[in-house]
Amino acid sequence: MNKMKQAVEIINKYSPYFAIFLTFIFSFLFTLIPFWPLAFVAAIFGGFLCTKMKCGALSAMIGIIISWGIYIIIGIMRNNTNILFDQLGVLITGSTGLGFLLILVVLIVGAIIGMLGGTIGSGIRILVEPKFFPENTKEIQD
Amino acid sequence: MEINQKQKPTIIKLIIASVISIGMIIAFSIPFGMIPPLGNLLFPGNGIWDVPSEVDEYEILEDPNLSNDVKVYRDEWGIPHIYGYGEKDLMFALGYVQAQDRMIQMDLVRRIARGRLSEIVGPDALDTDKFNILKLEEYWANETVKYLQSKASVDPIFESNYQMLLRFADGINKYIETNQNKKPFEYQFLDVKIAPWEIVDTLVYSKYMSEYFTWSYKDMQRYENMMILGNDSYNELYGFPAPYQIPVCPNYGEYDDISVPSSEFIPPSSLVTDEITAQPDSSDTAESQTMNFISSFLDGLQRFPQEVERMEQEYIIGSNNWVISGNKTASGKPLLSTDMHLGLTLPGMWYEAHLVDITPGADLNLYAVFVPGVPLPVAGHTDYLGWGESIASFDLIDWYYYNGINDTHYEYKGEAKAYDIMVESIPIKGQEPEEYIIKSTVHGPVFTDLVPMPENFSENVIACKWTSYNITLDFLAMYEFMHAKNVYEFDEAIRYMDLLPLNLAFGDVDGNIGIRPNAKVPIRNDTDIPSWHPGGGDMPYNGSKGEGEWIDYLDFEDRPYCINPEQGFLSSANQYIAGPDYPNVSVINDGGAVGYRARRINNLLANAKEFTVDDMKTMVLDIYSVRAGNFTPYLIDALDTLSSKTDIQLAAYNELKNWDYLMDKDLVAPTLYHVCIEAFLELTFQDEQNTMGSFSRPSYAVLENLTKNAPDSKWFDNISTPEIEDRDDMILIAFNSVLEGLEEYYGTSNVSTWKWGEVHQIQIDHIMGLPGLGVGPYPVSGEAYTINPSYGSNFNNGVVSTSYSRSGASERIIVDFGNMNNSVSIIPSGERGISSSIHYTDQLEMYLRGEFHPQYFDATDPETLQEWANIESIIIFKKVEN
Repeated sequence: MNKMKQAVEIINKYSPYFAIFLTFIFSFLFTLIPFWPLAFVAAIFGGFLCTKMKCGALSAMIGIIISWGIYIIIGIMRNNTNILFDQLGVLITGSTGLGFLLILVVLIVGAIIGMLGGTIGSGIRILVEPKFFPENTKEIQD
Repeated sequence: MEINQKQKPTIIKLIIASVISIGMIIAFSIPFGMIPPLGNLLFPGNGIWDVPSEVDEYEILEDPNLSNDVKVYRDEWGIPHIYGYGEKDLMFALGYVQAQDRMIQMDLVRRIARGRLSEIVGPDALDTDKFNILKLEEYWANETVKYLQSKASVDPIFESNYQMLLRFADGINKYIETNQNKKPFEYQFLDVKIAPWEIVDTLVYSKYMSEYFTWSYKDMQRYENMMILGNDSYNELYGFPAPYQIPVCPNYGEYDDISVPSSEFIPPSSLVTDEITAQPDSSDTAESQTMNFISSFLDGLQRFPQEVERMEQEYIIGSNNWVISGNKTASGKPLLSTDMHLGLTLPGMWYEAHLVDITPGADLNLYAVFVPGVPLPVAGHTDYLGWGESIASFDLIDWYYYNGINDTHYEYKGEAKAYDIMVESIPIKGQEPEEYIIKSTVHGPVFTDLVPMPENFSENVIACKWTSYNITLDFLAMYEFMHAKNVYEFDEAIRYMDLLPLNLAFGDVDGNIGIRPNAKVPIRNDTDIPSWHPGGGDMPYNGSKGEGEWIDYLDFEDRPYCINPEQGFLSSANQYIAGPDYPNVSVINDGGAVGYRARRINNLLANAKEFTVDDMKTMVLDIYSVRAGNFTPYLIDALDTLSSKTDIQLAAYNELKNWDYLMDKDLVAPTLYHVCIEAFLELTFQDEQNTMGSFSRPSYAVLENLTKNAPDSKWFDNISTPEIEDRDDMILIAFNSVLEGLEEYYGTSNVSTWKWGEVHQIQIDHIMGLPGLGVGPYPVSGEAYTINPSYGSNFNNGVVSTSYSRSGASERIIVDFGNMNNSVSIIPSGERGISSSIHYTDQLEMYLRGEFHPQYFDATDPETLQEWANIESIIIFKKVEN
């Protein structure tokens, strides 16, 4: 039990980093599945590691930004997807040169998804932990 | 309960975050009008992130129906070189690679032709679908499939073709099956699944091509012209034969350059009554009612953008091809060039591929352009021969008008006849399918139920008869082209071509050359038509009276052709097909092109000596304007009559005087000439159009003839002024009007800045018209009448504007029969129809620079190809056991 407690303590201590990492891993893996709301799930997972909602929101947001950012860079470098965003920009707005702006908007939406998912994840933890792990509650309240 | 109190803010935050999250999921998962769900479209792992810009560098696919492994190597232009054992395997691979590169284009065209656009874009496309269903392309493609299936069991050629079409469809379906989540951008935007490919999709494609080449409302426009102008003036401006025509087949005599008579001017009010009579029972009222009915129908067509496009494209589609015998070439063997002038789009109309049957003892090495969605070659060459096409000017569609009796019956030969009825179900995105009832007369489907007509014509009916309303076997001809060993076998194979009207120019490695303008040409019974009706399907017929019935088709043996002529060359540029000595001359010549390109081509080829592929390239890119060469001296002469010239007149005069008639985009003279001749035509006929009615302006060849031979023609007089103007007066009026217009357009009186390329540009749109996926505009040399064509009008109602050419040479192929490996080609797009691919427009850039690419034709094995070409990707289709 001591080891378990120690592990929880370490996770709690470094929870922002673990949350970022977990969100990053899951959201990156979920890009393999063509169902974008899974990004919320990744953020919820990440946020769940945080004992504070601000921490959960921020960490999951960073996690999604990093994973989507890497995905976008790979997409641009390997597949010229920025050209398609340029063309999409013309298609939607009639103006040229909006490709990177659109990509930035996607990244911002990803950040919002991370923030919301992280908030939900950490909120769920705050709500459920006292019930299932009362011994941690005190620390959480702190 | 204490803990709940503490958790209260958390719960509130959680609820707020959850509500916003659900809101976001909903907002990004629902479409907004034409914009698909943005989450599916934009977010990583979805939509456009899955669009494969380029094909995989190495791919292995399995198929149980292959006889052996097939290898596909793509060269530096993404063009597939396919090596397989047997034609069926080659067709499977061709189907796959065509789909890989052009799926959206293939899908779009089959949907247009079958009337299935509404299924993917919704009810907005319903009218277009109904119009296309009326063209019966799907119906007759299905009938052709049934015929092919029934013949396949008894005739080996039909069996081979059937199997090839099946395997080609299998190849496309293999792509669809394995790439449903990696669809092109357009699919992501439309948010639809790709439906499986059927044989009928391939055959309906041929029907669509036939529509592109032959669907026409010219009969009605001619009728309007006749009714407005009367017989004499009509014949003067549009009569047969048109001036300056050099027939495609040189072995049926030549036309004289006939002077257009300068008849006395007849007041417009007397024209219809005095000249268009003869039919005892056709009163003026009856004729004018028919005229109003036809005009109303043409007006109603304006509601259908595709039909408006069809009317306009009659003036822009064309083509060139020519073949030179060995006595005019450096190699002693023939050379052939073909460039079909069609609408330029992205993706482009043609798909290049190299097919090699590597079965020991097999004899198929083919490099050709294909229509995406069709596995058979349209133009190209084998080891033995090569061929190219231009559109032949046959009239293959006739329009009939009838007295309708009621909803179910119409009058036919004095009796009430019931319409044939067909019911089609049209699937519509987001709605229940709609049932569409098609009524047909004895000739064909009725269009007046769909085209909005005025109330007073509610009982009248228009239908059409078209050669495409038949089982058609062009694919058999193309199959035979691949296997012919010399021009005689090739010519025999043309017998099967009964759909597309084409001037086929061909040559072989034995040194033979040939040309055959071909189509299934109807012969009409014109015995009971009114005396003013020119017959030959040139104008609409009274269907109720049984006029203009098709009684037969011109036998293949009776169609004009020419092999190995003494002149040592053959060419076509959409002009008249045969000369006056041909027995059925009025049956086969349907107007066609004005003839400037033909005149230039014939002139160059007559003087050709020791021609090489480089000379052929120069000729394909030629921008000398015969029209300019024949008009500009008259313009200069007219300017010489001025006692003094203003500065701007003098500057323009000097530009024109020192010009060599090359339509170079960096020159000023082409601007002056082009805008001036347009103004000359407009001003010559505008006064009569305003007074008499809006007849279409005659061709520039007719204007040239009037200019040369009838300087005092009535047409040059402006009837709205008391003075009598002649040719030179009209030229000077046009010239001064143009100078004013150009000064305003360019914003300067400095004539040296009025470059042709600024006012004449090329624009290539996406096939669906999606903004952002097209390219241009770019300044471009040439004009509609140069061998290297680009189209556009710069002068309209006195206003000068930029023209954007959206048509031109849709491919350029030069075949060297002395060394097939020396053959070259280019298409004005790229091989791959994915808008983010480097092969989307790579060939277009070369095309605009006047360049060609090699074909690597002699690379009959993958090893040689790898040595010669820069291989970008490889696909191996592996045979697996069931």
